[in-house]
Amino acid sequence: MNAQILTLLRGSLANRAFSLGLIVVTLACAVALYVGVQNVQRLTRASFENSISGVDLVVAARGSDVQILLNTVFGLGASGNLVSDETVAAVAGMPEVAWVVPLALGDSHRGFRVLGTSPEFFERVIPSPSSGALFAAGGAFEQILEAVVGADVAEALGYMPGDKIVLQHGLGDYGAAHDDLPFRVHGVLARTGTPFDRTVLVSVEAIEAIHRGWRNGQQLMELSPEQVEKPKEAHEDEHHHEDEHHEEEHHAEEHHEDEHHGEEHNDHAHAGGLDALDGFFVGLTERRNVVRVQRNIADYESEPLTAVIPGVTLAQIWQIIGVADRGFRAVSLLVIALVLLAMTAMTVLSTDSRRREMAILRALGASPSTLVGLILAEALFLAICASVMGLGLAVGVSALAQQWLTQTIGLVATTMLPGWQEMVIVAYIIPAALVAGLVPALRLYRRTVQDGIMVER
Amino acid sequence: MTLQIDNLQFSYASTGGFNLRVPSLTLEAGTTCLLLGPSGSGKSTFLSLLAGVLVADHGRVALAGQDMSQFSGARMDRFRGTHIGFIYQTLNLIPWLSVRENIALGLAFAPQRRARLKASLGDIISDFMTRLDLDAGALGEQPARLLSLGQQQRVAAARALVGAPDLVLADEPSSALDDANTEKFFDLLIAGLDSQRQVLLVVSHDARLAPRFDRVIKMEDLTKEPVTGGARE
Repeated sequence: MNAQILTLLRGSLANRAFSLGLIVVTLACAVALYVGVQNVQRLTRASFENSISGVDLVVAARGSDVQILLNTVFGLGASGNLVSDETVAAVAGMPEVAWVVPLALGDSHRGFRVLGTSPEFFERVIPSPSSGALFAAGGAFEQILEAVVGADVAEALGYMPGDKIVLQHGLGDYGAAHDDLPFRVHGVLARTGTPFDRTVLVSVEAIEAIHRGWRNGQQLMELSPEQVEKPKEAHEDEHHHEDEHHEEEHHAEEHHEDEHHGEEHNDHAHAGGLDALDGFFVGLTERRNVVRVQRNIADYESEPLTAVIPGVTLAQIWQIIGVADRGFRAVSLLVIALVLLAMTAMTVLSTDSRRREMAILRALGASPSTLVGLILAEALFLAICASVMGLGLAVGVSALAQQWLTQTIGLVATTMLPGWQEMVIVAYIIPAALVAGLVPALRLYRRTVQDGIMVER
Repeated sequence: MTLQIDNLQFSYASTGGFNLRVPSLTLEAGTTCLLLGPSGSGKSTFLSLLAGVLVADHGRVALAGQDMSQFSGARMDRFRGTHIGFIYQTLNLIPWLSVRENIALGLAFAPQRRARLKASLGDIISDFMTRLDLDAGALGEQPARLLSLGQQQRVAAARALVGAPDLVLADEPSSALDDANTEKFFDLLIAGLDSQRQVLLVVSHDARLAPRFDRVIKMEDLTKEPVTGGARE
């Protein structure tokens, strides 16, 4: 490479600046699309895998890890057996356990599932937002008939604090309404990027209250909000939660539970008298004890239990549901390939119209391989330009869209900007561009060898 | 440097009929030679053979004692860049490069020719432009496509002459020029040659050019019989 050849290369590019500029911009957009898709995928995945990052173990009646998480975190599939109050108290009493948060499932609201839990849920379970507050409006439920709705629920149904909502028995649309006891929306969660965006959260006591007077999915008697707001008095004459045991057992558990009133975190869960849960989240004082506690819970004698370490199992679930993202990624790779193909086509056209130029260079002593080198150098230059521009575009657009991404994907990541793992694509684009340049270059080689220094015009 | 051809034979494998045979031709250093012939008489093929773009089936083409017919492709390309300047009928220049850049391109693929320069490239280009009646100041930075045909051919001459290659080949270089420009072109081209070293071979169908050249050879004579002495005009 000497000054004259560089001049030639630069002049040749400048001469076709417009058409080359278009192809570079197109390739840059394709690169930006890919990087953007990868970035959103990574953020979504991080957000997904951090859905319950505050939780060390998810405990439910014995079952498969995936099934337990799908049920407790995503509200998919059926619950297995219930876990008794006694068990919750026993686990909460383990020395390594810092807190437990109860989970009561089974109801829905206009297609969104309802989760009965305790107010600690908001402090312990949902990943703490890096920017902004956990609540977009209002706050955690305080009264029994108060609810907190996730961001998707609020958006889909237009809820604001103060709105009245009626829960439905069961998960389908056909369930009977708990319309005797309407709830008041007390808080709206900011988007978290977790399944809780699509959840209505109420207290375990509220779940218990709305099921008083029900048996096997049938409402046996109506209640008024006034009766419910004083749970202890109303409780004495009521029937029980559909899934629960006999009155006698229930009373026994009530007493047992009373003895544990001193327990710091779990008493809240049973204060209303719901004596069985679908499961509960456990937080440890020290996370490094997690495997031991997991084993201890699995060995618990009174009930067969499974304790799931969420991170590992969430990653497994992502492998299943991440297929759509991989498809999107494949499409954006395809876009890049198509643009490279377009670049090839354009270079073929331009080299056809540059036969004269090539013949002159041959007469000046350029060998066909030198000319091939010039074409490849062009392709390389274009690919580098497009890559740099594409990365710039991806970072720029991500920066501009940071607010929007935060609202769409959730609060987990500290930055929404693409990182090195997305930018690695450039390492593939540059050789791919060279391969794309090889087609016209080889064609040119053949042509120049035929033409020599004469081009018949 | 002397150009020497012995028993050169070439035939196109694909087109079947056409073949060219040059029994003998010697052009001493400093000779200017006009090769006259109608189109289709094999002039372009002959030039391609001299430039080493076509490879002879038999025979020898030697420039400065080096037998080009033995060179590999890449070596021949380098040899051509270093030892041979070439002027086309027309469209010699890269239209989007400036006049100066076009002239400098004569050295782009010829490091030895560049090394021969005795002054800076810029000065040498200015010098050639002046000698070929091109206003170095006004035209130097212009894109070549803006120049008149006459000017373009003289830029092509400058490019062929820069770095003083041993052999300058020209293929009907004046066919697109009017009489006045043709006259000027050849006057300046021949004046620009190093009469001690360089060989100029111009191929044309225009017999009126003959008086300017040391030797004039007709294509049919070239291919028929050994031409050693040649007819001096």
